[in-house]
Amino acid sequence: MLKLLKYDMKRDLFTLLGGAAALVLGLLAIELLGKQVGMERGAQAVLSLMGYTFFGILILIAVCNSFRLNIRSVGRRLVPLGSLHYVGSALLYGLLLNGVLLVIGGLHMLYYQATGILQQLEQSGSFTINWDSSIPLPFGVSLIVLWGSLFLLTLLLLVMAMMESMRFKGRTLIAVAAVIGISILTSAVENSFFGGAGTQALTGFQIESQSELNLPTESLGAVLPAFLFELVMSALFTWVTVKLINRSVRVE
Amino acid sequence: MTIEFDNNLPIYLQIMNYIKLQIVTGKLGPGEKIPSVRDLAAELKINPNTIQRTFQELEREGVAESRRGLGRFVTSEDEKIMAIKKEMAAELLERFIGGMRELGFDNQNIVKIVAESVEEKQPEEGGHTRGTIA
Amino acid sequence: MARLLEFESVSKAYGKKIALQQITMAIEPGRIVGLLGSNGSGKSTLMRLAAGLEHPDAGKIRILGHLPGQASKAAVSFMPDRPQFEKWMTVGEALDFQRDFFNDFDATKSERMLDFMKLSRRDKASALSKGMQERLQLTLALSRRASLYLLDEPIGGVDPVARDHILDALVEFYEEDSSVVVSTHLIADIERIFDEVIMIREGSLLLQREVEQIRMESGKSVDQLFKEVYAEC
Repeated sequence: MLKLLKYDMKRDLFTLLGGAAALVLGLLAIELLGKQVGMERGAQAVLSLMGYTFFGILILIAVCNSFRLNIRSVGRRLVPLGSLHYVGSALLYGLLLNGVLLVIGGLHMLYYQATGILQQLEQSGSFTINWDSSIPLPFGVSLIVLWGSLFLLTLLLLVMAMMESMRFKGRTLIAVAAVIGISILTSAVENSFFGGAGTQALTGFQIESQSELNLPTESLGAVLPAFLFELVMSALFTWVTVKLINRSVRVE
Repeated sequence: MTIEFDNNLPIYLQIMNYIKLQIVTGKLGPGEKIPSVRDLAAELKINPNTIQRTFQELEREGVAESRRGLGRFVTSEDEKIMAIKKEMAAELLERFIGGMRELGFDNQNIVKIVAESVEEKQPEEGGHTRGTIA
Repeated sequence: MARLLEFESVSKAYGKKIALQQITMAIEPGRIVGLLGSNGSGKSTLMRLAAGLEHPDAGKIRILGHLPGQASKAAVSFMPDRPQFEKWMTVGEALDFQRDFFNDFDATKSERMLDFMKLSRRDKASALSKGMQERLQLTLALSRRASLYLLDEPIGGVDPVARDHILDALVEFYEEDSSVVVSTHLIADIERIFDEVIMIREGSLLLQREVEQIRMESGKSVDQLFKEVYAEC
């Protein structure tokens, strides 16, 4: 699994370095240029957060793409490893990249804290954190983001495997429809059974208006059943993905 | 050292003939070591199993003998080598006589033509057999 | 004798197109087997099934007693008819990939083969000419000490001189106690290295026979027999 990941990273090396550089440059630009043109602190923070979200999505796309290439590639498929390894290495890849994103974000927060910008934001009311869990905040946020992206990835990988099992045109459309369909279904289930306490990455943060952010504030007790549900679902997604890779994904 | 193989004939027979020719012409002396299966396979670009079979046949005919741990060797019995020579000559003659008869020559004429031809020409080294050395 | 590869009424179709039909055959250790058939006769499908890249619709495949899967992939070295290395790789990286994933990779042998094939570790694999890419593919496949080698059209796209070189490499570097299946439609060039041949046509097995037996019994070359058998149908 780690060896597969190693070759994924070797292959994507330039894209990864380029992406990281682009993110850091973008954040610097928001910080420095924003100051020059007299942008509000709150607007800068929202813009940065949007930047993070955008890169989070790019990471998902990159991981999906790498997974798709892998399950189709003769060289990779000849390797004497079970198909679970392809899913595992893609998930690890996603975790790793999101981890890097979180570290950059964490450093960003430290900078906000050290310069007093964080207090400014909180005082102006454009940024509110109501964290009443026993878990420390940075840890909690990381957990939500990482688990959310993992869960979403298991779904996306399943859809990739479905797409690569089909042999006709228009499979991309079907894949998009499948992503939307399955995620609507899971959030509907979560809403009706667990009162909307899901941890899905894309809905984890709510940007309520142009310059107002809210972090989800569910306590662990409320999240746990939803988390367990998501765990079972992602295991199911992975199981189907592995079956599809074994049975019907066409290798080039 | 290559052989022009004829794909219509069993390859192992062609290699047997080739090795016998080497023995008769002295390129492989009595008691000399025969190349290993692997070496000969690589050299002739032939499947090692075919070479293996060739050697087995040669051993069966007593042309070669294997000594445990040492490899395979050409027989050192002169009579055996002479026998191979005669056998090969017989094959050549049979083909030659058959061809001449097809051309319409009778026995007397064949002998006459051969006698004349031998006197005209200087003796040649070796000769032509199927599976000629190229 | 233990069977290296065994097909038991194996069928495979892609949609409506039948690729293989009720194939039953076995390959024993220590053989070089020619898999003969025209383009589209099912040669590649047969190999891809044995390599574990595809799943049969019906029938059973066994490799050293295993169903195709992790264990069989470790024992089989497959050379596909298209590049198995990735575009970004150098020759060296493509070999490192094999080394990292296959326990039977033989570094000394791979160096010898690189030398024999006149390949350089630093060259970018995707920038090589077609002939050189085929040499690399063969190097990747034969650098392993596998039980079964499956070579899909190893001499398909190269000129006759390069072809001879590839055949030399094949005889020189294959492992004697393992078996090699070579698919080809260029029979005359390669038939002298076969122990036996399997002929398939439109997904069905026509015959499996020892080549020396063919020559002895019919006085024909495999190439001739192939042409006759194909013309008959």
